[in-house]
Amino acid sequence: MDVRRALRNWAYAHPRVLLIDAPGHRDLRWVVESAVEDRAWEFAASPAGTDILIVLGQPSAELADAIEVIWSQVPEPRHRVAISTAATISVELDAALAALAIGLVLGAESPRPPDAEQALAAAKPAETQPSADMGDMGDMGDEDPGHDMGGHGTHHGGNDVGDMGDMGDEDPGHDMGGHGMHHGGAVAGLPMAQTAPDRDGLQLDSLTIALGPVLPGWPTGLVLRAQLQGDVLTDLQLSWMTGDNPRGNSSEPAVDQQAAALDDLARFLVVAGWPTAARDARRAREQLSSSDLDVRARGQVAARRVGRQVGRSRVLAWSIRGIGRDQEAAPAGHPQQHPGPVDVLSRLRRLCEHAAQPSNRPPVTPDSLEDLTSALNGQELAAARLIMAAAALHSADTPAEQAATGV
Amino acid sequence: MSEVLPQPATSVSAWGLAPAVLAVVTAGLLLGLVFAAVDRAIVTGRGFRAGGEPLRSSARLLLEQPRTTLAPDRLLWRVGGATVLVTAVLAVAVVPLGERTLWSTSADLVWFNAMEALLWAAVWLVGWGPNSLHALVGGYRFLAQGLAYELPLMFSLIGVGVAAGSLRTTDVVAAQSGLWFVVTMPVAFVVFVASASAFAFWGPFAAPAGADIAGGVTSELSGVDRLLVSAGRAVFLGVTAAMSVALFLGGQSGPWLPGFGWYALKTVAVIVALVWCGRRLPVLRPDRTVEVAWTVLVPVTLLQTLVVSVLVLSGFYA
Repeated sequence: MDVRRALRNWAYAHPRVLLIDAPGHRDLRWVVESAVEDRAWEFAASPAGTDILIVLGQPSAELADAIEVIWSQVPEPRHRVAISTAATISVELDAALAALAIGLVLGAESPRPPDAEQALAAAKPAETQPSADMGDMGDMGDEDPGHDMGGHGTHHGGNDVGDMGDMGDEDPGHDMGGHGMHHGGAVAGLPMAQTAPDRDGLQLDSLTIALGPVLPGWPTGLVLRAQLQGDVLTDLQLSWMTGDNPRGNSSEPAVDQQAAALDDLARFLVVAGWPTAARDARRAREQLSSSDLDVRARGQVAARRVGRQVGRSRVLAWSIRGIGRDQEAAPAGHPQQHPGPVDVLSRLRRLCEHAAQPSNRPPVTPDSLEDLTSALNGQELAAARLIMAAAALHSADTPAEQAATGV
Repeated sequence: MSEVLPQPATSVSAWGLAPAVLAVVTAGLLLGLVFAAVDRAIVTGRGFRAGGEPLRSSARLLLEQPRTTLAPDRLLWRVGGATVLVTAVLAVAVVPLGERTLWSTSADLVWFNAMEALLWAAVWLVGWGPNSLHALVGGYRFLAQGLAYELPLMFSLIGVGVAAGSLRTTDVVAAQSGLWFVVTMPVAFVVFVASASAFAFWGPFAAPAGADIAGGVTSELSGVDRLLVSAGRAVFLGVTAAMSVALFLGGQSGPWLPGFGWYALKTVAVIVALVWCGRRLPVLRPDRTVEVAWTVLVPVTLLQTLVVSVLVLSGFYA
């Protein structure tokens, strides 16, 4: 038996971690990220690939509902930790690892974890109040759209921008009326995709989707709801899940702008698919936050290196050039398009400059959600993710109640 | 199979069926393990200390209980995941490890390409199965990427077949006794290795499993299913490195060391070079790679095949 236990402990010595930072906890996230990387643990990209779920700070009620749904999608054995101060991180992480190994032993006897369908059914009673409907959107926002559509289908049966005004409305008939068409039946409670005119005026399948509030390199708590036709987003709406939590409104504590730029850069690189450069940026950020002068000096060198490497990368520039440029200013396909408000490449280069050397100015002035919404409307999914990442949004940058609707 | 020419020695005829199959499966898994270890070492920047991580995460995935999604296409999802690993191991059958292949057909190169082409279906099913947006988007990205790499890959294989005058991998290795094929077809070599990272959606071609879509085709995988897909990808990459040694780098030929030593050494060198180069690059968006594949790579690989054909007619490879 000892051999088996030793084997289990060995297998779970480097678990995969899903970090969910409640708004306004950037400093705490940095410390936890460093601790996770020092221990050679990995970052998970989705609930399915998660062993330990770490919640930083105090999430709002809506975000907490969304976290419950995400938690229901994490396979056994699993463990969940809430961390609210930097002082206890090391202890909490050690305890999480031990609990994971114990859970592995207990999990062998316990019944299978509830699958998504059961979890959804269990989550129902919590969503009876009108205000809790946003919690349902939390379901939609997690990383399991199949599940999302379940939450969606059982409540609304359909959803469109005209309906977004009355969030509390639970009457499916009303929603369907707003849509003006019926979907072709349902499978397992999920509505089928419906057809709608796409941006070229053709009838194309249209799927109601939601991205967020938790995704890699995504500002936690932001939810993007849209119609997806092919991979083009239309009828877009962005909103924060910070809700009634007053902490979400408080501005983040003043941080070193260079370290903040490195953090934004690392998050962008995760989305752009450059994990080694993202790792270098995170390490430089960690070294810059050190109290040791030698380490900080090394951090400056590392920051300059990663800033230059990314800023001068021709391959990355070639891959992301033109995304977020103003399509109306010049004919499509013309190489010299007018740089739009969220031109991804020029934003990335500015971010790299700020990451490479000390600076007191914030690298990017945050966009309003309205600007972002209009920039994202009609974009492809991949381009939309890059635009969002380059916008380097933080929940504290924008008022909590702010929400924007696209046209 | 009753030619007058000496029958190519297969490992089945030499060792018997069961030991040969076992040896080939072991070799395939070992190649995958080596690739995954080198990849972890370079991605985490921890060097040799991270070398054991692939074994550790495999054990972890075996202990993990599988989860499911709402209304998945369970059968196709499972089949897709298993197919990734099975085709990867089947591709090892025609790699001339230890100077012999598991079985020898007159069309080994076609067999190898067929195994890789089956991935189109397998990966798409893995994306389709969970009834989930990100996985499905990943599946479609893989198909788009397939449009980019498939033709250049085939043309680079055709060049090898034309130069050797045979599609049998042991013949291809024998044809390189004078000069390695990489000298006369460098483009085909690079395209072949790059295509491997494209069909294993790894490194700069990892868009189907990108972080922007929460892991794409892998986003809903857990437990054994995730292990099958990730192991399949690693085995495919390792096998392609081994295959590139046979097709372009003279197989087991080399002084002093025994043939198998040279083969292993060259394979590891190709793996290290591939990981080191691939991990220095960001993910290339499939819409851009398709453009380059059709406007640059297809003409260039065709030109490469033309050069090889002219060399064959002039008796260069004889």
